[in-house]
Amino acid sequence: MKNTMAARGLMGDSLGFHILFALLGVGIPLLILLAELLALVKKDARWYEDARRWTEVLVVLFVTGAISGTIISMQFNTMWAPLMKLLEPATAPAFFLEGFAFLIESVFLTVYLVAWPKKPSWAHWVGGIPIMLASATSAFFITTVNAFMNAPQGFTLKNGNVVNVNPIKTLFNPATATETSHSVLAYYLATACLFMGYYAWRMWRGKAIGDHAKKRLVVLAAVSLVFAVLVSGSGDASARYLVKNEPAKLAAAEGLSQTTSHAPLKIGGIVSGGRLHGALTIPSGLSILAKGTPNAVVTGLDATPPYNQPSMAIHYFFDGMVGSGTFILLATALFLFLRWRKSKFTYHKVILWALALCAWLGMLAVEFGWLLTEIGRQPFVIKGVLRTADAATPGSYALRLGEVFPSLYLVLFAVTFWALKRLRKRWEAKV
Amino acid sequence: MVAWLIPGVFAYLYAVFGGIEFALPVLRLVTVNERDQAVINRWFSPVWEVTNVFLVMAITGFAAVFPLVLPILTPALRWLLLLVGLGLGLRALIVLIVFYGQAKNQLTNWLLAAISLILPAMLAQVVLDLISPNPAPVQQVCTALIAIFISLALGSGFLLMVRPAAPYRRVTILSLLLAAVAAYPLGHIASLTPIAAMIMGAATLAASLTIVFRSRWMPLVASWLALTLVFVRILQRQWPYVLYPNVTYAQVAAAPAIHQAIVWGMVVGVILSLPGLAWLVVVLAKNFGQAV
Repeated sequence: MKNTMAARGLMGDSLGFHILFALLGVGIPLLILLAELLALVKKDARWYEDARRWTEVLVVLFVTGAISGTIISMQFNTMWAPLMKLLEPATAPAFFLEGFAFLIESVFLTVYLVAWPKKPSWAHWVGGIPIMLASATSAFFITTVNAFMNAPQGFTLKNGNVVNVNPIKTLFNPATATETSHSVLAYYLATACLFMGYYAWRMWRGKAIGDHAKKRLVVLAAVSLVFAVLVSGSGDASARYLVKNEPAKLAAAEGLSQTTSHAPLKIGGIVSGGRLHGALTIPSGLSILAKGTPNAVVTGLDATPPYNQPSMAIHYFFDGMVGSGTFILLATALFLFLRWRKSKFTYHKVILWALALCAWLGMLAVEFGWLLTEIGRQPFVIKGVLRTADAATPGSYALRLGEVFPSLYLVLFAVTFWALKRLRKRWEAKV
Repeated sequence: MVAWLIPGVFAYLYAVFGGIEFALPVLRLVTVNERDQAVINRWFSPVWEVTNVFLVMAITGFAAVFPLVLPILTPALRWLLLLVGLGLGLRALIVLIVFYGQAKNQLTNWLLAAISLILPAMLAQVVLDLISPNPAPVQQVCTALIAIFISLALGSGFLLMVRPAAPYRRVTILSLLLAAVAAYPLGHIASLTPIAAMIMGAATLAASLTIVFRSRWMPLVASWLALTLVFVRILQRQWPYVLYPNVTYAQVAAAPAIHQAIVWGMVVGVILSLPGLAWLVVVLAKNFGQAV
């Protein structure tokens, strides 16, 4: 058990870092295309300069993402051999097509960067579209693997081996539509928030305060708001999926111990002794959100045998995710409203501070969402098929190596940050 | 069966580009001419980025086409693979510092060159462990030397292509000859004698043609030929085992339906990508002269 816990900690740490690099690899191409489009439409060279700079950032993060992805694939196979023995035969096409989309993205990104013309051109902009499509495709395929772990289908388990695999069914399982759409939209949101927050922070510090800086902040806030709305919609669809397919996860996330009609929506509170205490309660709120009527019955944790119940601690992650998203939505909406009304408070320090905070909240929301789906699936690693306790490679070396990979990731993170800072210094030196 | 070739093709591409990429920091360290150093700096990043993607593809390709390979191999070779993983991670950090952060610290340059020499040697040990259980120390040393010298030959051959005036011709030829010398005892022990003859042939070919024609691309071709011959010979020696003598490729292969899905997915991906790539290449051709 100690070994499993060490392997879980190790893997969680690596994936936690990798997600940050990977989501930026998905989100930045969209912002680059948008900036280049604005440069073309508005005939404004400053947008073109932004597009160029963001492409350079993308290259650095792309490289870091490739490295962390390689380390993770080694870790998975080393630390989780019994899991991979089941997962890889069933989801092989998803793993491969994720990598292949990544290859396509890298080829396009290299040519796109080398072919960068001095002046904006429609032809170059069109050539950038496949980068965005390939990165989204890559994210789609890898998320289908996670969706498969939540809703496994399309195979037969015979003597502990996966046989009779139907690749279409494993790829397009019941969780695929909601999980992939929610994840990819959240990556776009987190990236837009990071860029918006970064530029808001610069403005808050008295840097980047010109006319273009203000326009850039508006555009990034608008993108963040659009994706915040879309993520809310896909989140609602995800919750409805959970009601039908993973009721125990939903019950734990919402802190619902007993199956009941008029199920309340609980916000905040402290989990103790398997129950949620001190939460702000909205009567019948969960019944309405889950099934559309106040008297609808929502399944609680009591419907799942205790040895198969996920921890109610995921309620914190659920609240963290929804809270972060709500804050982003409100902050960007308020900023854009003030801008529309030409208010003198539009670029007030409090507003800028709130937008800067969104940079962290967007990332945190993705991390919370990932923790919610992973810990909410426990005690299974593949729901109903393989328990986490049986999924780690036997032996104690996971414990011994426990410190190495997290340290490596911390250094990777620090060096990436340092390289990006050096990149900014070079831009500033050019101006 | 077509799917079986996929991981091999990506592993081969990784070997070719990785060979070039591992050699560049070493050659950069021993290059005194600033213009030559600038050429290496210019070319390192794109080669490195593409190489890493080929590594990802080789691993995911193996995982997809032979899904039971990695769960068997990684526990069996865990320490070596973890060392390789750590080496790749550490090297990536230093690459970020040196090439992307543009740090001008000689210590990091030395460290990068040292890891770039060690990593191909370690990767060669992984291949040796697959072919031959419990290899003798002399086999391990010879395999490491072959990997290092072929990498240096590829890197210097590549640089000669992009900067013909630089003194890389001799490095390529010498590296190929030294790889041939290292291959001879290995060949004798592991029944891989043809490798020595092949590398020797490639070196001789490179030497003759570069002297006669002063060709700028022949050293790279000869180095590539040497690597290809070694690669094919290793595959031939290993076949049909993925981990000699216990596990065959057939035992760990995915079901035909999975292979079909992979091949069709790849075909669709290529068909969808080709128009976009052609479009972008046209843009590149048009703008190359005025590129920023």
